[in-house]
Amino acid sequence: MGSVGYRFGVSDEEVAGFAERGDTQAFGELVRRYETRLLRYARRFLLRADAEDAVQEAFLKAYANIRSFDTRRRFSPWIYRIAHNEFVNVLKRRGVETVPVFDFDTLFPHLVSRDKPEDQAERAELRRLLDNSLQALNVKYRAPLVLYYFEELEYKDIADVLGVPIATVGVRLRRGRNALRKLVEKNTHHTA
Amino acid sequence: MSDHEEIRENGRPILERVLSAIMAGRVRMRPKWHFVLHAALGATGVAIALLALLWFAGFILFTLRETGVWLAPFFGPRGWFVFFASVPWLIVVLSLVFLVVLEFLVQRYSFAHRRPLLYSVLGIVFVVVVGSMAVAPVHRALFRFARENRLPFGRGLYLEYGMMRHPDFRRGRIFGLTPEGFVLQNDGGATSSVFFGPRTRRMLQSPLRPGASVMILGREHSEFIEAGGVRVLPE
Repeated sequence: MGSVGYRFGVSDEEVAGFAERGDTQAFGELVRRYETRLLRYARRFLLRADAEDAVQEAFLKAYANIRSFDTRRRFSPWIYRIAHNEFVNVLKRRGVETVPVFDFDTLFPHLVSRDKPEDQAERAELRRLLDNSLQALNVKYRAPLVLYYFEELEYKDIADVLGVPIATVGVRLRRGRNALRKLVEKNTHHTA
Repeated sequence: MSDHEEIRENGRPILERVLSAIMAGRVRMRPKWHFVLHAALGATGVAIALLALLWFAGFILFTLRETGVWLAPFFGPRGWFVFFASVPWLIVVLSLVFLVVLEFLVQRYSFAHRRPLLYSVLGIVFVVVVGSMAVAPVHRALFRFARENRLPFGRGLYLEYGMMRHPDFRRGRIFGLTPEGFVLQNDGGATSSVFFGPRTRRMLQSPLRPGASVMILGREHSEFIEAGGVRVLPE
């Protein structure tokens, strides 16, 4: 299944362009390229059963709306945004509290600039801590942390996925890391 | 276990399920015109909301200038009280509603949602404040038509707001000077006697003389106005 021609050296945006013109195999190639990543993102949001169904639904919505994609822009934030919105809908249907429509940290500019880049060891340690504590974190902080540390998206792309200002991404990452550290300290205290 | 093995562990792979749904027609690609129409509707919504906001803001400015209360704060706290009591609050509330609607529509665009909300709100407010100065003269012309009974609709609205007067605030011209103060003549030609009391604040950038344009803050008694404050206006 799928055309070999799409696999080598053809960008996501070019493949999406073929998909827009009705080439189902081109869309299949996009699914192939993104299903692992979106599943990984989904599993950190939802339960396993929910994750697969949510990712499938996200791809179907992406197919239905593929003609709204501007091939001059990057495909990755676009598909992640569709997936993120679908995952949030799943959480809402399950009655889990999500980020409100209006959040104060999107209102004002933030003077806190991006933190200094962490080295490989720090990032690996943060990923390990995140994996253990993600479900306990507020959804507001979970999404940017996962998108930054696991999906390795840039601030600009995360801002587009979440629909928030770029500065707010930095603020939520910082607050998310602080919340994570407090969770770890609390767990350490309880086990001690 | 790798992610791909986990996908198959639960039945058909996601790829197969997605492609089979597409082939079976359970999901269809929306046509391009759907998104073009959606974008056009969004842009139209922004334009309508912006025009409505400019119209209302211009009306507020027209009302404040036509009634003269925009000058009332010069008289201090009492003047501010008169000012706030004279603001057309219903129109202000309508303006705020359209401001929220416009902000909501503008947030769909990346140039707006990538920046703090405050920036787009301030940008809209700036455009509206500047634009309202261009729209206010249109309202003044419509008010004139309303007074001449030439306005087919909205006549009542313009007469009500354009001729609204706070009982403690007056604007007019000095008809003549008297030992106790002066005689004030308003736009309609009616005259009132104005008396200066011991606590009258006189903000006289130029001397009082017949024909001078003035504004007065003061309580009206049966036959005269006791001026709490008098200010000569530039011609």
